[in-house]
Amino acid sequence: MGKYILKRLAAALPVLLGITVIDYALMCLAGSPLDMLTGPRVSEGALAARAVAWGLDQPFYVQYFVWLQQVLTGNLGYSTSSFQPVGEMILSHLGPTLLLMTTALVLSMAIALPLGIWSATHPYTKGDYGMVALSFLGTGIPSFFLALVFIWLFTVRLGWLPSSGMTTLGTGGGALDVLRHLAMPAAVLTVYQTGVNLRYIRSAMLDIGRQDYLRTARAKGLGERRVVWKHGFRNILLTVITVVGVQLPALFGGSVVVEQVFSWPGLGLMTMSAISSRDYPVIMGVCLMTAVVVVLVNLVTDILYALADPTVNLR
Amino acid sequence: MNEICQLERVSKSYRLSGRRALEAVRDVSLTLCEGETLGLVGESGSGKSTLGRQIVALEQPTAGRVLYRGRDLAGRDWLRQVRCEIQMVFQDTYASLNPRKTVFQTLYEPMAYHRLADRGDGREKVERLLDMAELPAAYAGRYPHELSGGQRQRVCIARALALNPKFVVWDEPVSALDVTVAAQILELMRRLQRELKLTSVFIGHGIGAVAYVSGRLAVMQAGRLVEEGPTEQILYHPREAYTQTLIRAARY
Amino acid sequence: MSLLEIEDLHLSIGEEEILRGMSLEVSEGEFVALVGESGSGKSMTALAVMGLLPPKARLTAGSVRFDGVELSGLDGPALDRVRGAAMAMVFQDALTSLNPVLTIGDQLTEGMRVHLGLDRRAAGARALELLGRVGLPADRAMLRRYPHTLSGGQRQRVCIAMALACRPRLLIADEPTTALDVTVQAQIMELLGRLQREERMAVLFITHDIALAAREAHRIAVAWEGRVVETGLAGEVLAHPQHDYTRRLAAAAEKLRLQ
Repeated sequence: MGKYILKRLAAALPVLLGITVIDYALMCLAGSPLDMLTGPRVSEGALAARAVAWGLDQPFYVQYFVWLQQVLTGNLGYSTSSFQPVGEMILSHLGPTLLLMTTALVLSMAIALPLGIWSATHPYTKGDYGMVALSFLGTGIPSFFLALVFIWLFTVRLGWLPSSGMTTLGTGGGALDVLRHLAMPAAVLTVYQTGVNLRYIRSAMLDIGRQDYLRTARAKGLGERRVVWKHGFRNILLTVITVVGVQLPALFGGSVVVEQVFSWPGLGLMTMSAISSRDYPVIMGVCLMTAVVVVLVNLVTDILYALADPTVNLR
Repeated sequence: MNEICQLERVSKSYRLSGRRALEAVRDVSLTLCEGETLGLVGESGSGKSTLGRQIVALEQPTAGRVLYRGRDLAGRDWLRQVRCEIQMVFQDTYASLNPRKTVFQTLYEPMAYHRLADRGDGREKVERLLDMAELPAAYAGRYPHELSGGQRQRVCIARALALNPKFVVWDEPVSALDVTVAAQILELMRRLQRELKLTSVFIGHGIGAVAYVSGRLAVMQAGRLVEEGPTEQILYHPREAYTQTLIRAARY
Repeated sequence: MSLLEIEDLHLSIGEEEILRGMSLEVSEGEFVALVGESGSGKSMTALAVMGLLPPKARLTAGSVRFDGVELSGLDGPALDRVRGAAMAMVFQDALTSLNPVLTIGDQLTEGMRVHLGLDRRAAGARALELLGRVGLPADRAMLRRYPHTLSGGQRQRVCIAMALACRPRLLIADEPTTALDVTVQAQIMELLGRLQREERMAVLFITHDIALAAREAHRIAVAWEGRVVETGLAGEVLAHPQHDYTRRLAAAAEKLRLQ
């Protein structure tokens, strides 16, 4: 197992390197941070001085290698707009994003798993059709629209929940305050993810329902509950691992739309503003982190897969 | 009799993960004469189907040569020239037919591709093939799922015959079928071999069915050819203990 | 009174009538073979007895009685007290019939724990005994193995052991040898015959191969188009088939078998 993990990590290094090269090239094609500074009140000389200061007068591959060299020493650089260290910026925004996205993922799985299994074990009944409709509704409603509806209902009309931020300004916050802020953005994301997960789990369970081993379990007179939850569930777990594995990287990326609407101080929001101000170091930092997370999550997924499915052998 | 196909010390191994390898076929030499039917018998894992794929050049052997009419099938030009003459029929008829193609399309398209039929005589040629496989001409419009297992196997046989083959490898064509259907397909095979003067290799795990259509038997076990000879001789005077086990099982 | 009495059973899937007056009796301790080809309704009959019919199948008439109790009207929990306990089933494809993510031991013992109320240790001990009975190594390592590490014949032996777990009075075996190599087929067939005698249970053996059926069965019933067209002592039916379809089955089986 240890050898396998090392092998996988070693294989990931060239991939990570490739991703950063492509990211850097794409970013340079999109435009320079200097473009953001141009205007009637900025002189040519000042621009040129800034270009030299930021190293933008060098060819882009030189810039890349300078960046890479710094990354290898543990320095992700400084933001070109806020002048904060990129590493610290990412860390301080990662917390809120992880909180928001994990809440949504856990909630959506907790809802989708029983509903999906129920739906699949009562196929083509009214309840099942209802679930399918719900699932389509969940994935079909645009997040920004649902967010606005929630704000209108819970903030404007009922006045129950705050509509923006993670803590009430001027207070120390506290768990309850954060929870109140978390409720709406998490709910919006949960609705969407539940829609997606419900569909995956229903179709996986439908598929398992047709398997011979479930018929064998029924023939043994184990009782329908044991048949579904013991024999079906262990196999459903493989699907859950896959689905969560696909969704985990998004956990770190955050949801740009939801964070924007609710002013949730997460990575999505930060990345969005970094892109619009062509903040090279921040963009690269986020890209690198996302790439590392994807590689790690894939590895963890494969390991979990091997643990859940005895026919999978890691080598 | 003329030799049509020779296997010279054919071996085939598949690389498994790491340094392990699966030696599916080990050092098999065989000669097939024109017009004869060789029965290749063995149980799962004996390498009989792997050997079948080497014979029709669906795969290249890791060692040794497969000669067809004296020339190595590993040669691309030679293989292209004789590709149509060598056909294979498989056990899983559902997997070997494209579910979205009608019987007509399945039979017509290879003929059209090789310019053996065109729009003018396509319908007629397809009907003749169906007739050869003892299927009603009306079945041309059907899709695979509208046919029974035996009927699908007849379509597969008709498709193999579409390109006027001289040499057919039958890979367990009746193993998945009901007994009466299997018996009918065996009769059909015997008739076709006689009428079309086909050279055949019939692969099977039940020595009874194989012996019914084959003049000569070759017994495989764990990738090796353990015994080979005329059917009567193998059945009544088997040398190897393994052959005796197979015969006892078929008499059971 | 016979142990299993199937009387004039009619079953449809959609518009298609699969069973048209299927009648069959199996007495206590009797080995009966139900012989027929795909579409003859033989497998549907077995599934109807076990209450495992596909969702779209509808029983339209007739009755299935086990030990005098009508099965066709039973609800799930009532049926579950019978199946796996007094009657058990072995299926054709042993590879897919076993749950790939559960160990052999787990799958062997769960029925005993539900039906016989055995605790882990007692169920484990009985599982070992069962492994021995079906000719598998009776050691704990075997119980910890997963189905994919076994050969086809071994898997079918596990399935048979699983069916025997609660000492059923009736064992239904639906083409248990069809997916196996010929030499293994003979072994499994002999195993079934031996177990039937030792356990004194009734066996309903379903097959398309009439000659194979005649090896172990006392009685043969020939199914054709959803009903039994001929029934009699095994040797009799094979030697003097009355119905035309039985003759065809016998002739075909001859062809596939060495003389």
